[in-house]
Amino acid sequence: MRYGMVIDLKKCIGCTGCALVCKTENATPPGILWLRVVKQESGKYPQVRRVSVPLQCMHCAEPPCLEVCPTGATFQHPNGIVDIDAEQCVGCRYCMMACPYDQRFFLSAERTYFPGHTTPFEQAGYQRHQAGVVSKCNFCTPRLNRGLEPACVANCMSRARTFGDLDEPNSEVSKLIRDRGGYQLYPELGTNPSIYYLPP
Amino acid sequence: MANLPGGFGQSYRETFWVETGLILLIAWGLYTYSLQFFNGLGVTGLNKPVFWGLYIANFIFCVGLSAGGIAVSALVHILNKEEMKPIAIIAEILSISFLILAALFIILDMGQPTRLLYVIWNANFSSPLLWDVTVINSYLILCSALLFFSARAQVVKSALGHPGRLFIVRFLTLGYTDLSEASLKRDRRVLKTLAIVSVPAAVALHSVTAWILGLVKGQPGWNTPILAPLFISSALASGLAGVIVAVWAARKLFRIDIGDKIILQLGTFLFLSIPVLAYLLFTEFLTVGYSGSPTHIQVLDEILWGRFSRIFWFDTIVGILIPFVLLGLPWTRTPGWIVVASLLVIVGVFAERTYLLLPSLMRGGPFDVTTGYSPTTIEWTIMAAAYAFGLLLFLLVGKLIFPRKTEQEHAVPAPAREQTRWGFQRG
Repeated sequence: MRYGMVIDLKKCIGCTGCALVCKTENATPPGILWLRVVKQESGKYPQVRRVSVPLQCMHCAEPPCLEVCPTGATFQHPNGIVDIDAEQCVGCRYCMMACPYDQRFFLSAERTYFPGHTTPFEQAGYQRHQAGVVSKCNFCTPRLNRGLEPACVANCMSRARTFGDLDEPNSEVSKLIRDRGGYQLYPELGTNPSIYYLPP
Repeated sequence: MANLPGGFGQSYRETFWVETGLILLIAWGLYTYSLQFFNGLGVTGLNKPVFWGLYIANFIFCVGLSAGGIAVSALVHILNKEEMKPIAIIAEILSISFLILAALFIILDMGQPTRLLYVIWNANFSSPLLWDVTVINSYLILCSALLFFSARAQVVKSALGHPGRLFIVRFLTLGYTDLSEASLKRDRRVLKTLAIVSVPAAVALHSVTAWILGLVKGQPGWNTPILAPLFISSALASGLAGVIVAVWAARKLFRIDIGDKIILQLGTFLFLSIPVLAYLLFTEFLTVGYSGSPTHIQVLDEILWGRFSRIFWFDTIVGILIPFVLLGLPWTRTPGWIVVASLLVIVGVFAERTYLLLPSLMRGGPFDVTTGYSPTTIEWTIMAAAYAFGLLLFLLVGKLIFPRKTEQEHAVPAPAREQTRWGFQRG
């Protein structure tokens, strides 16, 4: 059992809806973006194309962040998801240095979106976040426990995202990776990420 | 003793204002740190992706100076030169002060300092950071043992004929006040063993600190096998320079009988350590520039011609070239110029720490847009206060070990005092 995700860059239209729903689902404070969409250009004039690449924690099978954590606050679930126990985190930020994908975020101070005013949504959501610790995407583990897909998968308007079990050869994600030539980011680092991209 | 250059008065009255100044600076720093403690690290200039900054650069610098300082003390104990013994004591006080400073900088950098002990309770031994915690603590114990055995007899002798000092001496020596020839001999034997152990320990201390950076595969500027030797050579240079400055200051402050010859000797060692440092830096930059990966070359460009070029060329000229010339030329081989060269080396090594640490983080990477990093006033203030704390520690421990003489002791003719084994005045 190893949860993984396939992101089809051909289908992705770069609407950043996944980034938005990630913020609403997890109520992340300002400056904390567990999910981002970066726009990259490839090719040379006149054959140029713009590609939108959604980025989030890669949930590596060999996570460098887990190795360097001095307290073991970063841990791996048996289903392959890399998670952080915020109560154990001392805030040394070594994991942020170790992550080759820049997908870890440090909440350096408590901030709200509107200066001097906390909305009811923020009041409810910020109880899940504390200042001085590192946080990141956890594949919406609370939603998975309720039998739902991660919010970014469920809300992708072009169905570019597929979620499933990478260890199961007949699962939809495994088939997509096999048939469409799915690739990982920085495979040379030996981290073996659980997020695969399908070429645009 | 009267002909010592810049001799102070009869008591430690003259350091009163220095100490008051340091304590005021520390108090100001404590207030500033309370701002950081209650508002979070947002008050610093740290931002994604540059989340290690001035504190970590200072941490590496302090560890280096500490490791280099103990190398000097080990050298003295292994060579067993009596006239250099006071230098060993000063080097040990310096090492301990800077080791405590290094640990302090780590705590200052933590997002959750109240959870410090989690590092011990929930230790994850695959983390280089935990190796460093282990090695720093073992090293602190080793340094304290070295200082205890090399300063014990000196402290006891200073209290002879001073019943008032007896209590503090009992406390400092843990009751071990035996001054017989056999016990002194045992001290020397223990010291030699400790000194031999402390050399590999100093290498381990700074290598592990280098590996915190060097083992991270995601940071091209850090991930180089030469980082540990490079850090060791800079540690040796900054440690020697630190000991020279400390010895020069201590012979004025504590009025210890240290000849110019010893400072000249230490200057020669410093002169020899600078080319090693320059050579290792050159090797690293040549290898990267000639055959590095594109991201690695991006970091090098940032150092040589980019935002760090000013710091880099400042270090090359002011931190390496000028001290090398000053220490090498025959007509600047005077204690004064050697101290100037040492100060330049210390500043240069600090600059080196910043340009080895930061550019790799500031390169931004393929996904991150970097806004750069400039330390805020709060960071500079806390840093200054931390160093004030280190200096105060050095001053106070030094005063305990080298207590001032009373007025009638100063009336004793000089030759009688110079015959003592330790080269100090007998108290």
